[in-house]
Amino acid sequence: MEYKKIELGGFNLHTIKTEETKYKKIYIEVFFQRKALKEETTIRSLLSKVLTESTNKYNTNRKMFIESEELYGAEIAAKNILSGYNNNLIFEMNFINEKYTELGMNERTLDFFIEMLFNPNINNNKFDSESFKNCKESLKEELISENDNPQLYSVKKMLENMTDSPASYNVVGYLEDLEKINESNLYDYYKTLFVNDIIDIYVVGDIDTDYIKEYFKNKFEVRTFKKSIETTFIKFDKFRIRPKKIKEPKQFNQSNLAIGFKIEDLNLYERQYVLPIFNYIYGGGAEAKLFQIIREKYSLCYSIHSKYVPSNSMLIVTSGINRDQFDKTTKLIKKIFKEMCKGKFTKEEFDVAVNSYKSLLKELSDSQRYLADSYNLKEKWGYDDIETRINNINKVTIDDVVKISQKIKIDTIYLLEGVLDEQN
Amino acid sequence: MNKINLKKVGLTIYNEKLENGLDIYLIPNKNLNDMFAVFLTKYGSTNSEFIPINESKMIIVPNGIAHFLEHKLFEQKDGVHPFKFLSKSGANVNAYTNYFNTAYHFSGGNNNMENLEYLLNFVQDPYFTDSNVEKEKGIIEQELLMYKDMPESKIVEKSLANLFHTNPVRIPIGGTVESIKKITKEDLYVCYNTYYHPSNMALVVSGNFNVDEVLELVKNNQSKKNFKQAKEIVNKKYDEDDTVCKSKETINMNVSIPMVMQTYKFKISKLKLKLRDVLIYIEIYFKLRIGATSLTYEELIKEGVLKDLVDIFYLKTDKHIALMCFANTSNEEELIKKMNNSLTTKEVLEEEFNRKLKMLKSSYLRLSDNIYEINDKILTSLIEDNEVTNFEEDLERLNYKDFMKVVNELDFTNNSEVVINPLENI
Repeated sequence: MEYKKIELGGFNLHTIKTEETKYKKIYIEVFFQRKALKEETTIRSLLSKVLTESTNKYNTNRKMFIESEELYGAEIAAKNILSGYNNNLIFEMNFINEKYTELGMNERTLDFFIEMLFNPNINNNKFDSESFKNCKESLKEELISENDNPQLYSVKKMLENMTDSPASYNVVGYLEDLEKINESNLYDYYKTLFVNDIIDIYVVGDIDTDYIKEYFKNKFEVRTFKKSIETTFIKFDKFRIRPKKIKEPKQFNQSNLAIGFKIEDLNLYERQYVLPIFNYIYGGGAEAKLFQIIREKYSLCYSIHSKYVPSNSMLIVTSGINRDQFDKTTKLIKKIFKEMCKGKFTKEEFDVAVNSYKSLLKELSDSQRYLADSYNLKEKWGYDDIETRINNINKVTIDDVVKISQKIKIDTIYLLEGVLDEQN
Repeated sequence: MNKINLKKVGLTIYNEKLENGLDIYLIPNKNLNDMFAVFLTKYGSTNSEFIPINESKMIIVPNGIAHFLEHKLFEQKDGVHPFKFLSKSGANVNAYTNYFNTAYHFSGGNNNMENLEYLLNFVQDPYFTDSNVEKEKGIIEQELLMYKDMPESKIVEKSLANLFHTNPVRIPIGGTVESIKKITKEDLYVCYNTYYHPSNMALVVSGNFNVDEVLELVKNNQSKKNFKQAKEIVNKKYDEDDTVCKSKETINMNVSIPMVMQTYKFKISKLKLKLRDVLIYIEIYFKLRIGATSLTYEELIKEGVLKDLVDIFYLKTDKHIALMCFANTSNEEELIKKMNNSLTTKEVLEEEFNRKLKMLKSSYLRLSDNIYEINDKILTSLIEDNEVTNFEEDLERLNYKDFMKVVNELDFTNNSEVVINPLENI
């Protein structure tokens, strides 16, 4: 595998050339990064829909789909994500290498991607009304339906009560902000993407690196130099002595519990290596303590797990339970956590977590998307590359895991109380 | 040993059936790092009435037992949970039950051969006790409650219940809280002994491994075990009518936007075409008439009836095909009207069909880029067709003329609609 970073003024191009027979596809990912602002999440979310809906040349969604079929099933997607204090608007495409389809297809497919980004469906300095309306309605429905999923809803509410930082922002957006967006101000915002955002492009596959460099140099028309912004992790400096408890009744059959922990002062080593191990043993792994005790021993739930959010310095536990088991389940979650802090886990559990970390990276290294993301993690967050991470995980000690537990503070407990009577 | 060469993706499927009947499919791919192994039985939630092994009378077992059994196979006499053993070396392990099969699988980890042996052993070593059966009921009850809050799950269940008179796809896979309470360890053993016989099972392994090494390991492992003489399992045959039970039902759940599922019931074609081809042609037709590239979809978006694509998928039983169309909409009347109009039009240009065929051939090329898709394709073939064929040759056989024959035969009169409205509308 051969990696190259090419600075082209207004953006950086990263090419990852893989072995000839490994992938039949070529994968492209473009990151537009800027500082996360609550009032911008909605407009960026809407932009991700509008740009992929139609373009100047393919001016309806149907025409976009037809063209992507003609291009042997080229798949374009866009998403808006928040990590740390940053908001990344990401556009990606994967398509079959022309070696396996038809000569000339690589260029034609890349042109389709460029068309999507640079040649939007515009009339008189505003987005085409029909396309805009479709996307706005679609996003509106998505926002309205968000509360239908009890697990996602409970995490969302827990985060809102836990912090004001970008970790609590809704990356899909807000209805009240959506109302204010129109064809014109969305177009004005769109133009700022190329001027203000830090842009990184990743291309992964059996590619001709020189050709890719020339292609993007000529066709990715962004010439504005930008001052690079610091990519920072969320940092907490205030911690509760007692966790905040919130209960909210809703018309569901099952209750959902979401518990948030803040993590103090993590360094890069802990973030990359130690936190994943702690999380795996506590609640992330298939044989984790939360699973073993709360589900297998006490049959209190079907699903319970913890996840860590490294860029947000957080740990989150979620579970689906009966509402009358709330006290018992919460007590057990806290008790198991306290035992982790005292080092009450075995060497075997520790070794399993380490093996799982290595194994996951090995598996992810088969994915073109993950290869692109891992280079982005290195570029923006200073993470080690995949090979190095697989080796360095061996340096983590049991002591490291116990030390990190001292930094993890329980903060907010949210219970979504299911109050729907069971129907036959 | 049979070999199926898939030249365009550079893969070969190696297939051998052991003496005890276990069917093995191996698809090596040294371009990738990982390995994915699936051990499955052709036993799902619909096998609720059958003649147990070595007996002569039909029995009925409680609904949800196949899924319950899947949970219980993770119970081991030595107390070591398979998740624990397999995750020691970093592997991911899981299982699932659906209407027609149950599968146990793992991937990842740095100990593939030992893990493969372990997979075979834990699935073939049942340990059910009265107390461990009782304990599981609490866990499964929570799982069923979780699905009760999922409208996407509910709408499929209701649709199938309204579409089928007698076929057990009309019953939810996990059963109900009441039905699982009736399950005993004796029930589990009867089902296990009948359906988990190697002659009713298959092992599919894809990714980075050595064919001879895996084959030898499996053969050695199986030769040490004794199984009763294999007999064909007698499942109850259902005389399912072509009509539907209920043509429309409306329920209320905690949803913000109403949901609709329109399902069409087709009798399996009498045309002298492979069923696999017929299923593909029907899917292509639906995608052309109401999918992303259709004028109908474009009109429905323009009218505000739809804000997103219609999800299209199918379920096949022995006698029928259920084609299921799902959408979020506040105007289900207009949606159904336009869908029906479009589907009964039956005009498809050859170039449109060819474009969809191009898509299918492109999707096929992606098979070698990961370990899961090829494995999944083989599983689907085994469950739906009871055989695995050369996928490349199958694709070459598809043509417009046969496609139109299938389309012209489609009868849309037997259909059923389920609507989920928000709770406030009660």
